[in-house]
Amino acid sequence: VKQEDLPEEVKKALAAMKEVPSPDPIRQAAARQAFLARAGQLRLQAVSGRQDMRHRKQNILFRRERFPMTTLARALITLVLLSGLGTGTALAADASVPGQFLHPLDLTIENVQQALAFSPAARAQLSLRIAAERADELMALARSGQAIEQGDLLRLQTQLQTTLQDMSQLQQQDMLRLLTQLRDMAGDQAGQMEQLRLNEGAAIMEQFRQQAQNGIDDPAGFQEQHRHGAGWQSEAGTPEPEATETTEPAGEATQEPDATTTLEPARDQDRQQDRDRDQDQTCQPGSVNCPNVTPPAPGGPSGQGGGHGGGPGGNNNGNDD
Amino acid sequence: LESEQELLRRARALEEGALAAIFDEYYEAIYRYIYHYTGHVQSAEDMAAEVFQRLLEQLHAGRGPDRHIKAWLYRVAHNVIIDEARRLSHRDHRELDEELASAGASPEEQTQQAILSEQAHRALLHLTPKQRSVIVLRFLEGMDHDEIAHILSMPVGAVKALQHRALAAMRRNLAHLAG
Repeated sequence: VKQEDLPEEVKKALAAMKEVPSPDPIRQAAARQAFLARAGQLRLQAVSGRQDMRHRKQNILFRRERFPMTTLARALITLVLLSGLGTGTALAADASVPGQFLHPLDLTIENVQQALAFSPAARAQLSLRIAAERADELMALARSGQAIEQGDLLRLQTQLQTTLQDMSQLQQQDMLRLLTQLRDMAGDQAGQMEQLRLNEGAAIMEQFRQQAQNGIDDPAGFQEQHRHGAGWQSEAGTPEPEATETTEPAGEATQEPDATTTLEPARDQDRQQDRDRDQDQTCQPGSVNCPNVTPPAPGGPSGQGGGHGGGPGGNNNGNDD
Repeated sequence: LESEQELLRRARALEEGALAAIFDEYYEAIYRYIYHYTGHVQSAEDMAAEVFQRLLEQLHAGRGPDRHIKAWLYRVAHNVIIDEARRLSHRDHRELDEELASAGASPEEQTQQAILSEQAHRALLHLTPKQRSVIVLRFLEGMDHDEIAHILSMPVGAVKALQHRALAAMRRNLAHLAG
């Protein structure tokens, strides 16, 4: 449909909306300045920690600044070599996907990396990277037409849970920074998974995107929720998915956990409601999809009372249609 | 703009010149896109600033756009809008700005224009987020279906179907508001 083919009333409405007031130049300049100032801060962070510590990390052998992660990587490679495996094997393991021969090695290396993490912030950052890798692996499987097993989904969910717990141990500023990264990463990957029809994976990513958002909205509540009993390593080496997110009775807790049953049932319901709403081509009253709107009139196309009461469990990011 | 790949390479290194170029090139477009959702200048300004802050955080984390900066920014803007809508869902709605009076028009014409503009915004705001996006991106920002598909992470066919439904819903909403 081209603009000129649109119905007259729609064309007129669009024309009326085309005129947009300019942003306030002072506020725009302030936003630009804040943006560039933040970039400057991040540039400094990218170099290393405290300036007075940098020179201490240099010596005759190591003229250049040594980064802890580089040292860790060296130690790990040495470990792998000593255990009879080549570095090529380690790299191949890193690129492997579930079901491949080297994938268990990849998981082992990651566990070692996590155990050797030199600070809570580094551990949380590493957890986030591993979670992203788990999600990428699922998508790689989907792209190559291979079956996704429940264990693969559970592994993703568990890693994301570990990531949240690790983040909850941090100072608020670091925690918020990583939660923002997690939220954006999860939102992005949920969209990609939907495109691949990887719906269960997308639901998991969306669930954790929302949890990260909740953490950003209420950092103290998030820390409270995730710190309690959140020893970041359980006996099995990785924590179980949160008990609060399951709907199974306690008597069934000994059964093998099923990734799909641990998702919030309300979320699936929300997703279905979103689809239904779009098919109906209207918003429902109280939905977050009609957030700030007064209904046009009683009995109107979107019903009454739009804009109130949308709960945080909604799932709109990429799931509207 | 210099080649997008080169610009991105420099932006990943957090070079001030590259980041400033990206901000100057896309800020107003992102602001305009958000304004179509919120109908509120200050909210649109704040949310546009948030989009660029997210760009920085992602670049710093080694993620962010891999090729198309513009599409990536619009996608993040869409997410920011959804997040903000969730946050505000319990509050009263905010009035649309009344800053659109056309210079030179008579008071009657200005009033008529303001009513029409407000009705149009209300009709738009009653669509679902993706329906709104497709209307704004296609008919107000002039993008083609491929670009919109990239921004919304949807197949092109789904974008066309969504557009069809969005237009029908928009038409119904307008008829209702006029009646």
